[in-house]
Amino acid sequence: MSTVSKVVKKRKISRPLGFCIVGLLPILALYTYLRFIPIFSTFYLSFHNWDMVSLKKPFIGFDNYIKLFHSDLFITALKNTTIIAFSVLLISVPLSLIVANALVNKVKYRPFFESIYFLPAIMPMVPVTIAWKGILDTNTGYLNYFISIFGIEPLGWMTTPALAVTSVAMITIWKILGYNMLIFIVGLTGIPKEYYEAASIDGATGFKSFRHITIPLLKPITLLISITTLITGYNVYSTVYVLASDTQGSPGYIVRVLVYDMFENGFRFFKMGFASAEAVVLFAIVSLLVVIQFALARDKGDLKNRKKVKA
Amino acid sequence: MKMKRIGAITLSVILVFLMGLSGCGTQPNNSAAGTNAVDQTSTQPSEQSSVKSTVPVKLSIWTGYPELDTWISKMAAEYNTANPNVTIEVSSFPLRDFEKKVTTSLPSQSCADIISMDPNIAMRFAKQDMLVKAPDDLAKYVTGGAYDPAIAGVGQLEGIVYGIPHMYGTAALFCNAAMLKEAGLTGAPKTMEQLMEYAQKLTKYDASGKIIRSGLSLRLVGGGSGLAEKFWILMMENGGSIVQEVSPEKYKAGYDNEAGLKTLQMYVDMLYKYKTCDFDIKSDAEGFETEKTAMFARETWVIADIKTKAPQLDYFTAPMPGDANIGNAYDFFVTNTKDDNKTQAAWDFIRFMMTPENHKQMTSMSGWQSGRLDLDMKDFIAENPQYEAFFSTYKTINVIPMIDEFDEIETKLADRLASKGFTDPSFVDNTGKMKAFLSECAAETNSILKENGHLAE
Repeated sequence: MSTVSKVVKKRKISRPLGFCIVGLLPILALYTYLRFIPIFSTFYLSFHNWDMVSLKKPFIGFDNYIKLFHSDLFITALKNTTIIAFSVLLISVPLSLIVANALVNKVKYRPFFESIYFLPAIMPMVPVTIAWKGILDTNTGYLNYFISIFGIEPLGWMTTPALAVTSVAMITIWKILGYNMLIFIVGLTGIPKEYYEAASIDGATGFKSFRHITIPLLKPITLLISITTLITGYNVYSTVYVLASDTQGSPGYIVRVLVYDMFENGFRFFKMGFASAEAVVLFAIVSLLVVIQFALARDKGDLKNRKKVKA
Repeated sequence: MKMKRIGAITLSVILVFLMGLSGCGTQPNNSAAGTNAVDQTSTQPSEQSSVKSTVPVKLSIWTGYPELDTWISKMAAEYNTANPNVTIEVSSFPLRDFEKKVTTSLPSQSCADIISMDPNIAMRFAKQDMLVKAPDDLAKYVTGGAYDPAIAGVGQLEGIVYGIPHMYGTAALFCNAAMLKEAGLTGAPKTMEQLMEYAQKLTKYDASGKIIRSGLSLRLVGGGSGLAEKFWILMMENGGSIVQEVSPEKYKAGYDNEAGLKTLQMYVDMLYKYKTCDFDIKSDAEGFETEKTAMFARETWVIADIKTKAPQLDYFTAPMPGDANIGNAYDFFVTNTKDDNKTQAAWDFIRFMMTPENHKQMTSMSGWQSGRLDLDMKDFIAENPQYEAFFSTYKTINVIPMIDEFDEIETKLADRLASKGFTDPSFVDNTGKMKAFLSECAAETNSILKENGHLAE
């Protein structure tokens, strides 16, 4: 009896902690309702066959997942999305770091250039893609006009398979560059100038100081940007939707991406279970890649130090 | 203790709040007018067919065809003048967005009161009591001979009428008269072979051999099922179909045959052998209006579109050259709002729009045909001769089969055609390769049919 009362005593919540819990509960409840329940529902639905309107949801086990990996459209979508996501990651992150570094160090009228680069990030994707559609048009587009100056024949930016995927990646990079640049600028301005001064005394200036001071100190920021960029790349949808939405646009199949395929299966073909299985796979891929990014970005020196401390 | 009590109260409040949120999506019940009698004498809808309520009612109507806006808005204003207690809000969206909007809003009861929709999609909702049965007078009108039975049938479920067909899409050949004259051609092509000849004679190239005007515009790109539907129209002229009904409610792919092969060969030859069309030239209505193409097949709405965008265009329309056509009906449906006043007002407004004098205005204002057999359109055709070809009679008329999965079948066929069927130049003069491709597509069509229990084994 006395042991039980002791346990109860130990578990008693202190007043400040209780206040915090009570204060956080409404937010947690809303978060649960708006985030966790939909995520769990998606997992639940992926094991069921549901047409979104009927009351019956028969359990079908892993059938949706088996069909998924036998679906040519899903494989195409997965391939295209991966190409787009990694192109965006590998091009936009270094490019935005270069732009940010240039703006922080050397450029006059910095706020003006920052605004110009950041402008695409605040523009809604649909009108932006419509404008890009005009730029990419084979017959009347500015891009083909521009390359014709160098004697290059007009290209089917929205109709040739490889170029259509490139176009989507290009639009996404253009859109995300300014946002990434801004985050890098915040990171760059946070690096104490003393480090560079000390390095310059030792003879490390220019690229050397960038390589040995800027890049290592920006590692947490680079990790954050890489993760958000990769997630953005894997979730690309509206660009493809607008490009493929009319008779003059890209063939839907050529630029099929995961979210487009998911949306089509769920809301057009009423195969909500199948679409949920696709969502789960996308969730798993992105989660795995994020874990890998964290692992790669972990400071090896720091890890050694921690091991030493433990020992 | 006090803290625990506060925590418990807060938790209870949150749970009640969450339950309230969860309870927002209750299942609809069908408060419609009773079951319809079938096959009665056709009586045209009249404005005074029911006792009207004076309770203020706000109705909303959604369509996927923005060109209908002017007509519906005019009808809404006139109806409001006669019935000041009823106000009607008209909204339209691009077709695919509209379909998705209805799909997501109907189950959550946030859809419009009236929707104009493809019955093939809408009947899925009717099965779940999300749509209301038509009142007896309108049901009798639909089944009483005012429409071709195929058109009347698509808005019915087990003999009960849900949809009132108001719009009908069928194709005709649009020909640029000046371009035909320039090429020394008189009249429209009458056979599929002639169509190919015309296309070759009408195509223009620049000095480098690049097409600057296509002879016949083919739908080669774009998302959704439209691409397969245009393929279907031309395939019908050769005697094929996307799916073929073998026995009641049992189907199989209808293009893995000579008709499908002939049509695919026609596309491939036009693209790579005779080069009468390519992927980059402006196509469809836009191509025709900007004189980038000499001929293309489309529905009546293009006539109204040309009037607005290219009024100077010298053109004529002609029946499809193979004595076969597709007929797509679009019906008015009333959604289940569980509010009798709204339901009654919604049907009454539909009744008002369907009166002959009002319904005829739909064609003149939007360009869309009505599909009704009881409307006298002679005076309209005399004033607008381009419409005449759309009222031609055909030996074969196909309507979209009433199977839920048809859109998936069409969209996936469109994807395969766009990605491989039309993009592989090695198909030219390679019958075996084309046959293999069609078999591959047909296998997918049949597997979708099988999955949904509609495959004829």
